[in-house]
Amino acid sequence: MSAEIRHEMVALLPRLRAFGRSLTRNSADADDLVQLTCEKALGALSSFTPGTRLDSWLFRIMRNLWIDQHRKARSTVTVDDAAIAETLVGDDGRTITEARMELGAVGDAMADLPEEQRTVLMLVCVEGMRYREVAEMLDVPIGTVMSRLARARSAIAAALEGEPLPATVDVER
Amino acid sequence: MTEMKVTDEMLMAYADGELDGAEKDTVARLAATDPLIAARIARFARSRQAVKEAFAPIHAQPVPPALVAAVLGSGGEKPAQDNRILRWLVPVAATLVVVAGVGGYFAGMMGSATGDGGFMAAATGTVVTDALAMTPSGTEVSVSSAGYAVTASATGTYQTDGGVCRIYEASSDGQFLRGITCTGGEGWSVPVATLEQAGETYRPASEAGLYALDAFLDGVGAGGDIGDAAEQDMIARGWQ
Repeated sequence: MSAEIRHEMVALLPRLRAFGRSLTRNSADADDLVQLTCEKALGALSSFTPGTRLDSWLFRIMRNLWIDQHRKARSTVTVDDAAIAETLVGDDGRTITEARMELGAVGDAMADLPEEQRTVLMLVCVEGMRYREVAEMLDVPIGTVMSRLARARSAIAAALEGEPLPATVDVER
Repeated sequence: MTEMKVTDEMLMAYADGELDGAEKDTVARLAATDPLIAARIARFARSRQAVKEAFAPIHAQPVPPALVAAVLGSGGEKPAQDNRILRWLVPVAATLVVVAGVGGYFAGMMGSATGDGGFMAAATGTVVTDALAMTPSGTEVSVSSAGYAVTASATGTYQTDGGVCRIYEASSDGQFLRGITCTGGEGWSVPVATLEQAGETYRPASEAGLYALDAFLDGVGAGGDIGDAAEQDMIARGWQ
């Protein structure tokens, strides 16, 4: 039982890393968060209901961990998110804006969204979850999922439309 | 219904395939007659696709060995010393990249994402695992997989909690991979593989990397090698 779940968790690691990345915005913090999530999950296997979705369970654990961490961090740092993302330098010397470089214009636009919107965006667009599943996972009404998602999608679309296309001449000057 | 005001959320839900019945018909009708509505739907479809594509490279990245070890290696179910028994020696100078993935998704994505992904995808593809499934440990097979001439051989076969797993080695043109291929009776997957990179890119392998493959076998409850006779028997029965 436990061995099977571990096996499944390994297979889910790439998706957990991507979700972690959407929360933390840099790869080192994301992997720390994924590891914490796995450790917490393995320590609480008895609370997992067999037959339900392991991925949703892990995503929920990860999000709760991140929110807890973030809350603590915010109580000691008073700068807003965007300023932190612009100025802080990671332990490995690379700037936190690494996430933006790697995820391109989408990552750039996502970094400016509140966590609630980033999460529904990931769960629906990357994970392919149904609105109803996301609502159950986050324990919010489906209308809340839809309004967060629509705002996030509009922001992403606007950011992409504002981006100059590579290898084409800018005719709008 | 046709006169109702359509909200962004309805159009998004339509683009996401979340509407049905009267609402879906209404939006479909509006989209067919009003180019602005159709454009708003297309915009939602584009944003979904863009987000999905932005994260695809992260899905395809090799998972750090420490993470795999964190999931597999810290089990409380087996005696601790089991986690430290290496079933084979991993050269200390090798750079290990542990990749975890599922079937075709993994094999299909790796090629475009990392420099050595092409070989890794080739060496973990079904052409290789299917050829190994017909071959006893210690015997080499040569196949053409995803454009690579891959030579592979299994080095051991283990009964696990979830089926049978085999450690195998694969090489092609100076590139070398060790992996674990497992079956529950229907098809083979490669849940973990380590890639050794030749040349000037040597870095010290992390301890977690050294133990990751072995920890995987411990994690799935593998015992000792089942032996030649039992293996031959399983090959004959198609691993059922």
